[in-house]
Amino acid sequence: MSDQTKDYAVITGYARSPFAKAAIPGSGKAPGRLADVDPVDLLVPLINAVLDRSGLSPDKVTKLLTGCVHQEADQGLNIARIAVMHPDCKLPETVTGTSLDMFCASSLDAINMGAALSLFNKDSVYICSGVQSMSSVPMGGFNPHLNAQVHEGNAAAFMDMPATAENLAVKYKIGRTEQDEFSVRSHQRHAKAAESGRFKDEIVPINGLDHDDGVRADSSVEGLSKLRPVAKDASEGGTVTAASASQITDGASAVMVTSESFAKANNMPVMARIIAVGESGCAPEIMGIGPVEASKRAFEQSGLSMKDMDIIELNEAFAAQSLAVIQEWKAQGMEPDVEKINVNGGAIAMGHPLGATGARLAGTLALELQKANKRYGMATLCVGGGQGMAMILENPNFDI
Amino acid sequence: MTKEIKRVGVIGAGTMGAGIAGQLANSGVEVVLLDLKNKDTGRNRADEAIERMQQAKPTDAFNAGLMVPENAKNITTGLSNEDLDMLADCDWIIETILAPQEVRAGIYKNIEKIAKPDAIFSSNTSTMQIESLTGGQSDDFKRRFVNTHFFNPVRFMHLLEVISNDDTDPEIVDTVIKFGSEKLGKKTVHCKDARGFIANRIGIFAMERARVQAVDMEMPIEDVDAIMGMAFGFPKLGLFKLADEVGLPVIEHVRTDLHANLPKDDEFQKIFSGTEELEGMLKAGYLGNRDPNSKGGYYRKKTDDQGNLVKDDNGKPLKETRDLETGEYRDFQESPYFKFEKKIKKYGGFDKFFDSEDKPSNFAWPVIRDIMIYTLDHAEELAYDLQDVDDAMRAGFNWEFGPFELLDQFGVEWFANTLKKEGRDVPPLLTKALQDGFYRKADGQNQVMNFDSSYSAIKRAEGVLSLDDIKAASQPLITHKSASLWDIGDGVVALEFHSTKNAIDPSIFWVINESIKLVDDNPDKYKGMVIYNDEKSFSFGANLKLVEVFMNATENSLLRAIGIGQYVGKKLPGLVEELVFEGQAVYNALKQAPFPVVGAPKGTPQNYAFGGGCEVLLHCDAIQAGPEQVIGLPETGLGLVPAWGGSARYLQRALEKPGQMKGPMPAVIEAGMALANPMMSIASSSQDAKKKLWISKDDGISMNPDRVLADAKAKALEMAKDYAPRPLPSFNLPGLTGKGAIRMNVDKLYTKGGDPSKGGINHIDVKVIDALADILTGGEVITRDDVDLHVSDPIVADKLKLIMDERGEDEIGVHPGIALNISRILQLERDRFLDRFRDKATWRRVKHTLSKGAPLREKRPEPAPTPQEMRDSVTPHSLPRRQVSGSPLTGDDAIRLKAMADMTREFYNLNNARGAGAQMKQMPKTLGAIRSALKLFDPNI
Repeated sequence: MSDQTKDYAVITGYARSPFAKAAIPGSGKAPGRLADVDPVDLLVPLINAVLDRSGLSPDKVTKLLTGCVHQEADQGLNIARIAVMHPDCKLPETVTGTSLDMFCASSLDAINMGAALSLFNKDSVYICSGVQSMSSVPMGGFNPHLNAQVHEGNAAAFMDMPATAENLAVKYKIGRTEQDEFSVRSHQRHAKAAESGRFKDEIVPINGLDHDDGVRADSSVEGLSKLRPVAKDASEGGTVTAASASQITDGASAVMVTSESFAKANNMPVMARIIAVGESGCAPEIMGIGPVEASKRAFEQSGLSMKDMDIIELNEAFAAQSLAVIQEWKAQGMEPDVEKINVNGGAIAMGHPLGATGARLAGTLALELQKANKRYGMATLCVGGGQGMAMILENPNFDI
Repeated sequence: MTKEIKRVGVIGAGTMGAGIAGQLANSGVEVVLLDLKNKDTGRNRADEAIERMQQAKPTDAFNAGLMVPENAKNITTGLSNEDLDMLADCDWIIETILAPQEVRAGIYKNIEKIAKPDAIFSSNTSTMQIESLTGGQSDDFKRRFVNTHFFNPVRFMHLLEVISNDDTDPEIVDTVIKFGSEKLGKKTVHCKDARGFIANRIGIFAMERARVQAVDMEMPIEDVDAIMGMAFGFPKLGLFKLADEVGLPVIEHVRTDLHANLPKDDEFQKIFSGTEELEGMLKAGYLGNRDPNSKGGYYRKKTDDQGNLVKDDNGKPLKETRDLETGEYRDFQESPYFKFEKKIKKYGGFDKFFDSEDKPSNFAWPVIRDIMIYTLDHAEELAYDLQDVDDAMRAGFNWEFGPFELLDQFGVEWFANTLKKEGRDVPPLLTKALQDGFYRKADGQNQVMNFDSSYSAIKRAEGVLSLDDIKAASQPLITHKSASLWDIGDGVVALEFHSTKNAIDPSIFWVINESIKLVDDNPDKYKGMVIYNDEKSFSFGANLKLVEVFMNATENSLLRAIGIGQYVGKKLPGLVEELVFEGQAVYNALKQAPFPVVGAPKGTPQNYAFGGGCEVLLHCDAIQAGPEQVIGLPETGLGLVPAWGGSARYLQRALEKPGQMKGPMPAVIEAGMALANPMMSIASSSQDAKKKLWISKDDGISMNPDRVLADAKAKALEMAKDYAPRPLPSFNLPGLTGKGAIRMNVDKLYTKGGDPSKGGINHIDVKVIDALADILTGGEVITRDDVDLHVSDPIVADKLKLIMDERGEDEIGVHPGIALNISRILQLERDRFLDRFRDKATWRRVKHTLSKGAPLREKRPEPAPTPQEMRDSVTPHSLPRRQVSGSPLTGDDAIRLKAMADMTREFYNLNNARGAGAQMKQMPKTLGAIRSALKLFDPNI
């Protein structure tokens, strides 16, 4: 329950790029629509958009925080600072830039940090962003190295992600059809939301692209059943396919975070209060279960519970992983209403540009709470290497 | 004078039109391909044809018309009923349509209006004479018209028949012949304007004659195919299987055309068996194997009542064979004459075989006799000389020998006498050859008989250099059992392999080593070297048979009982280490030699350069390859790692690749992926080999295999002008953390399951890839003893020693800041090769490969070991440190090399000895050579 006497960190603006299927060299597939766009160029228009949407003078911003995984090549050299220095960026050079990497939770952690700092430093404002050009830098980066002792002692620490989803599918007895049904639902929900114009308020068109291009409205369980599993051959019991996994995508996202007191004083639109953040590590070979413990901790901190949640954004790293989280929530007595999870679809339909997903989840949750006139919501995701993070938001404009 | 051809139009995108357009695109010229809309799909057939070629698997010879899919960019398509004006700036327009003559004549009239005034016109019709094609056309059109007859599949079939008549401008003929030879890579044979030209006229006669004999003798189809195959140098498939492959409609088309148009007294008319049978087959849907809707041909797949394939216990589909008499299909039965090319050797010569009067002989003799008589009677009507006849049959029907070469092998005199005995006329042309045969060696030349019974040197197309001609005229500069060095003129020497399948062995190493010394010692005489041979394959790689003999000796219970097995077993690792070192040493001596070395794999279809054969090319200073070279390093499939410098040099190529990503890992990953997955990395053509880094961007590709030697020689001479060997490479590699990253990926692939075709690997592969990863990442640590030997920069080496002193340790981890030299990588190759060699799992893979033709794929044990358990099961070797200097071997090393070479020679001599007596006689020599070699090895390995 939010404490009306407390000054909360708040989200005062949100924008994201369209999410476009990435170019995968050697795959023989058509190059992605944003594959040629430098990740900095994906990010800068969003920074400008949240500045415009908040109405705040750019020189009031303290720092740009950018979550990005594999910070090398096009994503290297402290990409946050590079974005500030971009000639099109409205931020002055006095604004600092910090790039951070917590794998899939990177930009959710950027919000987490921005929130903490905005309460710690008086009158400070943070643009908490994320970006990932999976076309530019492949999964694992160009120069993967791995500490030999870590690998020998705990090979699962850097286990292939689809293999962790297979582990969950086995552990929670989640069949192929169940996964495919979940995936089809994601596509259908996203397609429906897109058709209704739901994403117009978040997407900033880039290079003429104004929608997420990985969505297949006509996706069917029968069609998906023909695909080959990616991590483990079907003859070995594999069930996780490219279609029941999040897509490999280029994209960026940004939210503005400050204290509620500063926002009010500066007439900024308050989209959501950040009520609590929970995070926790877990066994890396079942990293997908991370949201369970993370959400538990967020509930403990906030004094809220699952039944208070009106909307849940659960990142769809894999269908098997999302279904496992739902099962485990239930097993631990946190009964989620499945209909409230990912009401507009998720990463299986629109893609998962690693660094950008966290801020996308929080931003779209804040927006959805407003649109649906709901009070509480949670954004949560699993993290490679065995971690989870969850953030609870409250809609201050909620009107009974 | 010949014209330049830059842009070619092709009308018709059927099998032949698409294939011709594909080969033109492969050669780099601009192509316009026109056809009509497909009524079923509404798309231009030309676009569909290009798509089919792009998507075909490289092994699908009839559809894989493009050497690499990217070549499609050279082809522009249009509709032949709307876009004829696209032909306006074409230098040559080829018509390939199947249509009545009046339709064709109309098209000719239209294209003449549109075409440039000096454009060349040609048709690809397979039998028609020029007059029947150009009747009614303008004189200028006739002047510019030739017939250009390609064979299917155009990319792989070597023959291009060019037919002209008196109306044709000779300059046009010369232009097409030159372009066909140089750019399209074809054996261009200028034929006289006779029905069916050379190849189809004789080839279809041969097929028809054999069929008639088969029906007469009620010979099963399987027997016909077994006998009429490689025993006489005919294609391996035999007659009917080949007909199925070529497609029955084509064969029916040519034979009925010949029947309708040849004179009544032509022998073909006498043996023509009518159209009933084949037309019946076509009507019933038996079109052979080319058409996807075909039910089969002379052979078909067995199906049950529901139309499902019937398979045997191993899951292989069962076949059925057509009975020529009844037209019914029955179960396929392997012929008792299967592999007749081996059985025929037992007769002791063709003459004895034909005289033997058994069933195969009674079948083969009348067939071959009549083919020869037909050829002898018609050669002068069809060809300008008899060499053209042989060339056409070899290049157009894939006969290993032309009919006149076959007659020489049978014995011209014997053949003539046998005809006389049978009361037949002896063809006059045969009589002319009674003295010397059709081919002879005289005056230091390979000569061929002319129609007037005189002889002249075998003609070569302009700019073609033949190693055969050089060999006829000279003695080798250096020779040993498996290789020779030839002087090919102008200061260039050619190193030729001639072992079985050109397997790489110490005999070859010795010749390489001596050749480098010879050229190096005579700089005023020799300027460069090419490595070239005319065999079917450049080289299949290391001679595994040689290794297998020693493997078997160590395991043989009898030899173990008397102690020899143990002795060989103890010596074997030393022998293998020596073999690996020698290859590394001589290959690197090639690379560092003070003169240019040009690798020249001939690149005929299905010409392989694998393993050690590929590695020799990786150590050449440049490559000039023929068009279709298949090249790669399949070692990991055998459980081994490339260790004759192949891992090191492929890594170097990946590091130096233009646009390679920065950092120590991208090249390591690229090389690792390629070498760990030969199925993906083996190149299917020379253009593909450039994409896959086996051949460098600046290396040359000769479209015509016959021109490779001359082009390679020219390249060597060009390079020799200001030649200096490239400095030895150095490598900045990631060390253990990089290996960790590769292991992470291996773990991922292992999870997928053991089937490489589905992207998985098995437990043995885990060990093999870990060995490869160790080499490519530079190894884990450098010891104090190795620092000076393995680090490129002495200042860095000293600093490393200082750090070790400070830490009180005798080794230091490899990291990207240390430039390692080639000796380091080669040492790792040897160490890891020995690890793999001493693993019995490797022996099982090698033996399985030798007996079954493919490496063993082990089943994963239950419970499955973890990848880390598999890696922990390997005990790594650390072999004595030896430096690869880049100079030829001298001193003790050279003595060991010679002993190994001689041992190899004596081993082959024993293997080739026929009969117990000969073997007993050879045995002491072989054992003596083995003993002298073995005693020279390091006893401590």
